[in-house]
Amino acid sequence: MSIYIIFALNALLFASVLFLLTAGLNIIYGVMRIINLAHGNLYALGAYVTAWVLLTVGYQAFPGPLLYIVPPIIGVLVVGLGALIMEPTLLRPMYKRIEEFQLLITFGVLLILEDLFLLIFGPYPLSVREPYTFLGVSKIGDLSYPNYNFLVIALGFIVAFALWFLLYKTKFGIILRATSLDREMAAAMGVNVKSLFTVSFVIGAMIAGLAGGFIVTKDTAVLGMGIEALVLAFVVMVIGGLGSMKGAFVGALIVGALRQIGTAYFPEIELAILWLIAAVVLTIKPQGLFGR
Amino acid sequence: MSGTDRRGFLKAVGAGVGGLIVGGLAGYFGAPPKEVVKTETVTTTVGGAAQTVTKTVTVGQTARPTPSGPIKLGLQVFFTGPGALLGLPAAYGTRMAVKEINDAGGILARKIELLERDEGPSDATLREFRKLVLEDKIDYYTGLISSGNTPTVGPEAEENKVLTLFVDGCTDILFERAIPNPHYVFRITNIQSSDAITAAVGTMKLLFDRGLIPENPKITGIHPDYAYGRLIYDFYNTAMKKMLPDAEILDQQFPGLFKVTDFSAQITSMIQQRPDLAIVSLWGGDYVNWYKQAIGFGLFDKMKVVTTLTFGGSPQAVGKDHPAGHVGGVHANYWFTNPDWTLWPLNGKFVKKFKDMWGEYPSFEGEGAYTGAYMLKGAIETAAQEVGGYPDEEEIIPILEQWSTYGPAGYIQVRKKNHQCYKNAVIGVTGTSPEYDFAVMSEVLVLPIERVSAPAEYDTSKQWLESWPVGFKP
Amino acid sequence: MTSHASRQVRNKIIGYLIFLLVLALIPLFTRIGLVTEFVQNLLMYSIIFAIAGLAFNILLGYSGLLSFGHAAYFAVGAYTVALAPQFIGNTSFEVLILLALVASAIVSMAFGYIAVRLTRIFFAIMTLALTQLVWALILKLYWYTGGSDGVNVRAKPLLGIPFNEFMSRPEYLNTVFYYYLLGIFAISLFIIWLIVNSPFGRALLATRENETRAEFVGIRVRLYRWYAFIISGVFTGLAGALFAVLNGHVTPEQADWIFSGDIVFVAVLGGFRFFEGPILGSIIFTFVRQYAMGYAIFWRLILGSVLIVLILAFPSGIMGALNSIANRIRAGSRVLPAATTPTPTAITDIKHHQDGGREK
Repeated sequence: MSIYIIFALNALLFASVLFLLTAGLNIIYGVMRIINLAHGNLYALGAYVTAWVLLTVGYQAFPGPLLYIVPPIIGVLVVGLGALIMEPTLLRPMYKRIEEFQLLITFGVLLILEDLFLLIFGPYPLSVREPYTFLGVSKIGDLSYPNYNFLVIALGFIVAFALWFLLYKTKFGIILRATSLDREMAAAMGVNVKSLFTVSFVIGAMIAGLAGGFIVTKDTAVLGMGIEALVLAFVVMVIGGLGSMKGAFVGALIVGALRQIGTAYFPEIELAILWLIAAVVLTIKPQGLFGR
Repeated sequence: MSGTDRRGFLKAVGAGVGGLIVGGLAGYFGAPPKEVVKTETVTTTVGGAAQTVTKTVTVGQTARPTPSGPIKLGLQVFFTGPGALLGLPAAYGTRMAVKEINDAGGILARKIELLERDEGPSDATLREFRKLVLEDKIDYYTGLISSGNTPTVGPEAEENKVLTLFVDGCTDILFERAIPNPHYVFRITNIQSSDAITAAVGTMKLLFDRGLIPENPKITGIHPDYAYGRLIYDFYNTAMKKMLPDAEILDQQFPGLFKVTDFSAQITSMIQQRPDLAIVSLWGGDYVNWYKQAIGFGLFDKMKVVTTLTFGGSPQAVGKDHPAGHVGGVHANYWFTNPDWTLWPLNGKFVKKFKDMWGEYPSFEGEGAYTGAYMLKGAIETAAQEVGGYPDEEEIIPILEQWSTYGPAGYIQVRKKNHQCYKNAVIGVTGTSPEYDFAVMSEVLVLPIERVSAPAEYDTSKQWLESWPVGFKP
Repeated sequence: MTSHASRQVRNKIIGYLIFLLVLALIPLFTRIGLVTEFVQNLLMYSIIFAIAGLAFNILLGYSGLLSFGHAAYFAVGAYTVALAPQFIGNTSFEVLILLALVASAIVSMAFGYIAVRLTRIFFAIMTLALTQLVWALILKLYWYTGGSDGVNVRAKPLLGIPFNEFMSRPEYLNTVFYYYLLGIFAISLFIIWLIVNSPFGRALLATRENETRAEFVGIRVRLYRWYAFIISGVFTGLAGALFAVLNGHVTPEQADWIFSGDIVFVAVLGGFRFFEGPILGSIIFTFVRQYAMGYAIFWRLILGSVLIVLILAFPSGIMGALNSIANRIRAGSRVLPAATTPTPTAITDIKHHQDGGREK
């Protein structure tokens, strides 16, 4: 029995990370109608910076709970800064161009970031252990489960709630949703579309950075991690629907569960199952489960 | 020039009328004039330039001019990506040997020039190899880590007639299927089947004989999804089934190589099977991630773990938090504390020098690459004595085929039949030591290589393994 | 007008013939040492990529559909050549090519049927998902496909003549296979050129420029796109088949979406608004990547920067840049009317529809 609880927790864990990734992608797509192929590498940037901080400064430098907060926040800030530079210089000239070019320019950023990691952080994976092992394990029946994973699961739900609040309960959220529905109308109503785009791009990127900062102590920062993550986030996005926050949430849960079930019972075709389901959803409902 | 033209033309005639025209074209355009011309009785060589060949020259009679310029040695290993954990130590080993050799005056007074290229996916690796051969005109080639890459580059090396010393990539498939009759290609580190069988024998000696696993163990496992993982899965489980016929082999996991960083799903699935034993052939960054997360799930308390590559990367890659009392492998090759530094000072000196130069302890790749470079030097110098001048590949190869030498890891021998090197295999118990701030082997088990590898009379290692009588314990 | 157009066509054909002639002379240049064997080898990769790029461009350039999934058809072609000999024995290469064409036709029919219901970004994502499906299957069905190790491919008899038996592989590749490849390239170039200049090709262009209007004048948009998709997939499969023999080894990398990205890159680099764009793009791409990889390990950095600079500064690719320079020289200081510049309006100004191009 307890093993199934752990299966469920694993699914939630994976779903949490996927949701954080997809939520960022969806905010950016919803507002700007751009699919950011470099998004996975922004997540990797968060992971790399966090790991690098922990390795060079040392975990001893952060007393108590600061250890869990400060290094990822540094990662998130670096990602935010990167996004703040990227949007006006590379994306802004693209808004009036065809979507193919928008996709390709982010593909270019993906390639560049991939090599910048190599250049800055070196070829070895950056592995940190401390915050992950410090939290110890919980007993579930006769099995154990790492406490750190609960933290990551919680993070997903906290961010989901925060985003819901931001989008539906604040004035900023109303403006954001209005702009995503009709850009011209929003502009006519006096919304500063330009700065709104910058802000939403930075928020989307920072959520990805946050995910990277938190998973890195559980995993490692390694070259290629961004591309792997992006591809999975794509599956979630396709299943849930482009630009839909609810879709990201449900899609992430579906993919998280599928992956655990696939690994446990059909390890041979686990990856293929994910893509097959994505293709089926696209065929039956091209706009995804919750797409508009 | 005309010689090769005629040769191409004659070949075409031999192939029949249909092939005549195109074959003639081939002879005309093809085969650059660098080839070795051989007749049945006299071995002569057309040197780098279009020299006239002196017909009276027979092997070893007249001194030949040593080619001018440095010896170009191509080195291709993973310098980047997660594979660098194994690739860089190999590069360190080669660089260190090359530096030592050059400082001592080179090989036959020729310095070695190292041309380093990155190893990658097999098509990129192959193109880079072709570039080294066709454009940079390397004399010899060494390196390669991935057992997905050696079967790709191997046939190409044979066809381009490049003397090649693979450091790793030690799949059995290379000399069983990709190049069954190797001529130009050699390989330094132990063959992969030995790795699996060493792990199996290690399981028996270090766990079963001590009553740590039952007579009928349930065996799960996790392996990277490529040649290496598949082979370890196949050979290890077959060997265990031979030695303990009541063993039960469970479904095992195959995550993609370096594709997964979160192993929670795989780890829980392994625990769910309630096994006694897990065979793990993950390596590099994959292994580091896996064991860190497996500790969190308490996997190490639930079963005994046998790995092939815990200690395979740079030794310091595996931290002191690694659980003790399990079996950790080094690809059946070399662990830096063995052979004992006082009994075998060569190893102590090597380790110290390596540590001083690179700031880390040598891995089996480092030792293999280092010994390999010296093997090449030894064979060239011996061949030179026989032929009285700088030897070509065809003169080095017969020497290398019966070469036997010793390096930091001890004695090493080339098997003529498959060009594979053999040295004693090593596996051990995981633990810690106050001297090192990383996990080490607390107990080293050395297995004579004859016991864990197929004898030369078997065509494939699998045939040998299948010939084991049930209950056989090598 | 017509005489001007036919003169243009004649000039183009002469241009292609000169290009092919130069390619045909390359082995001679290699022979006398003007170029290295390796350069010739890379050129063969370029030619194969050019076929794939031309095929890809039937979709992007002529139908306005960005496929991020052409790796799938390339890999299907390559794996057919790699795996078929197990079942049908060592046949001549033509048989294998035929099988590869059939296999990639089947796959692109199926995938195309699903994908052409979508356009724009949805089309791109759909093709990506489908190619990842192929990739995952190749990777995971280890016992059939060799998993990530891939499959070794030996040299094949060509036109029924077993050149592979009396020639070493390098000799084979640099002589007979080179001309074989060049022949197939010339035929493909000709066929694709005919297709895009046929009424069918013009209809595709019409669907690219304005879908609704095209529908209005009686073009069955989705059906035409499906045909274009299949043609594109089949030629990409042909490129994959040739690649298998040249590379001597096929791996799942050829089915990965990053490889699809390479094909896109080739078209964009050369200029996807131009028929010849992918050819130029593929030659430059292959050589730049190889030499960037050899001398700097940071080749992705270089590729990415090139891509960004291209899109920001030269959206019509190298061909576009060359063309506008040529026009400027021809026209002297006179400013050209906008209509003759090679940049169609579609590049500079397409407004976003809120429905995002989904099926209506």
